Amino acid sequence: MIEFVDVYKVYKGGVVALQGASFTVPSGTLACLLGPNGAGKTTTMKLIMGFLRPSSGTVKVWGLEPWIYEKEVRSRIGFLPERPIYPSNVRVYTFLKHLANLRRVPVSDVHRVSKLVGIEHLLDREIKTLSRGYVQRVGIAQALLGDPELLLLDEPTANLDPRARREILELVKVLHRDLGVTIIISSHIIPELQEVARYAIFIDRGKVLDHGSLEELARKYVANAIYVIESSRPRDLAIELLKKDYVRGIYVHDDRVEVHVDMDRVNDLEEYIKELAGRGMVKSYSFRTAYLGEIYEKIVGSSHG
Amino acid sequence: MRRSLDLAMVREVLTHASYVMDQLLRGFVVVVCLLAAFQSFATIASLPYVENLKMGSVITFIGMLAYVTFQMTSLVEELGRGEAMLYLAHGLTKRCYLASWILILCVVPIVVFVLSIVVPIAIIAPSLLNNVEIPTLIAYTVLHLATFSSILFLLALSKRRGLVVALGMAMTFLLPIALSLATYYFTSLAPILGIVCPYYYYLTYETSSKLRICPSPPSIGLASLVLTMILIYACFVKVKKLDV
Repeated sequence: MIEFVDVYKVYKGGVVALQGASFTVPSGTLACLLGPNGAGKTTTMKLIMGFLRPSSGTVKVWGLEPWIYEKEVRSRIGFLPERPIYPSNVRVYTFLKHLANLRRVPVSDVHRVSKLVGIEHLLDREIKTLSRGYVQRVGIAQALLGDPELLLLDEPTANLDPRARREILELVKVLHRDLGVTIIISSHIIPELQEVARYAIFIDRGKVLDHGSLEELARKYVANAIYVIESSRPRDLAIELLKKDYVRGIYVHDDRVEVHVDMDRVNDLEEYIKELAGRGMVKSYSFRTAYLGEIYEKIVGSSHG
Repeated sequence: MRRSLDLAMVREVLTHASYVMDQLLRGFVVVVCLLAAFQSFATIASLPYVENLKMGSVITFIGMLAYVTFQMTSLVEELGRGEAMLYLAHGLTKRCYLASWILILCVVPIVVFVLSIVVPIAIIAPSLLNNVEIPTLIAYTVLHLATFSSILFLLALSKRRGLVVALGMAMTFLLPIALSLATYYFTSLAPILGIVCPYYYYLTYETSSKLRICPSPPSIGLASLVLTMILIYACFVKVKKLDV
């Protein structure tokens, strides 16, 4: 879906934002673009949107170069910019209606997206009178106009209080789950991304350090895999699992059991879980990605040293 | 195919222009009211001579240039803080974005200014409309406004607000003085200045015999027209390459 091949972006004045960035993002994923401030995340987003032209290399989105096929590409993308750059004196409805007109979607779509992000009661308010959390929701609403196939969210929780952050992240999860949209979130706040992302692109000082699904990255960089098993008898299940030598740790939270296992014995554990499920001890289970922070530390550590 | 593409672009330009215009409406209404009042007064005061009307309209013309300069900063701010990205993200092309601003800050002021000259005359002294001086006056003001705003557009695309304001104000208030001084002390410089201010040059040429050795206002007007076309072309090239 998105393909960067050896992309360099040098701004006027010689500031190098990207240095030979190469990565892909498959369709249907909820990916995060993770890196410290100034790593090149916003530049990457702008290159995907075709706002910037790469100094060299190739950027392709659905096989098209966004800089050249700007209209074709942008019409299929919803974009939430990093900063709240919305016109302050305009009513929310007027603003969204104008963007719907530009995108050539019916005005009824304004009501749909407003309802989806919970701002339908604020449509008559001027944007400047809204709290930061609601302004961010307006931003997400505009990004959702016209049912885009790809959502680019640049620092969606920046400058928000903890409650607003949680609400926005919940919203992102719901959008991915219910609408099946491919989402790319850029952020430098690892715990937030841990909650939502299943695919990661690690970027630092303009270089893409690594990318891939969290499972792949965990296998590559992290010793233990984590499974979360839902059970009606969590304590019995934990006792059963402790008998296996490849299990490195077990944590019980209410009806859930978190199992840490050697990465190279994942298949053995899965077989055993299936066996336990046959005995009625397992309701469901999921491979939980390794801690993003841990992967990040390993990747940054290996790149620096 | 080509025609439908062009129509789609026109629709985009008009859609965005009307949205931006709504936001700038308050200031614009004030300008239109002031223009109407001033021009009506100037028309009544100058009757029955067109000469006085020409001089009277200079005041409203300066006001219009100051208004365009002031509003040009809205474009600079919109580009500077990245608001333009929002509109571009929804399918508006950079060229259509620029075209909509040109419509607002060049075409609309020209139409309003021309109407502010023609309408009071048509109501107060309709016979003056047959005077050949009126279309000439209109032609130079239109050229002047077009050149003025195209210079400012090129600066605005470099996102330098201070430069836009400084040059806009200088071209509005200092250029007439500079042209008068050039007429008396550096006559050869006057036509060069005249290219960026054809209306002022036309008025100065009409009233000062010193400029008789210089190119006539129509020649300067033609040079001004060519300059404007080059500047607008440069704006469209620049906006295409603009990092938003």
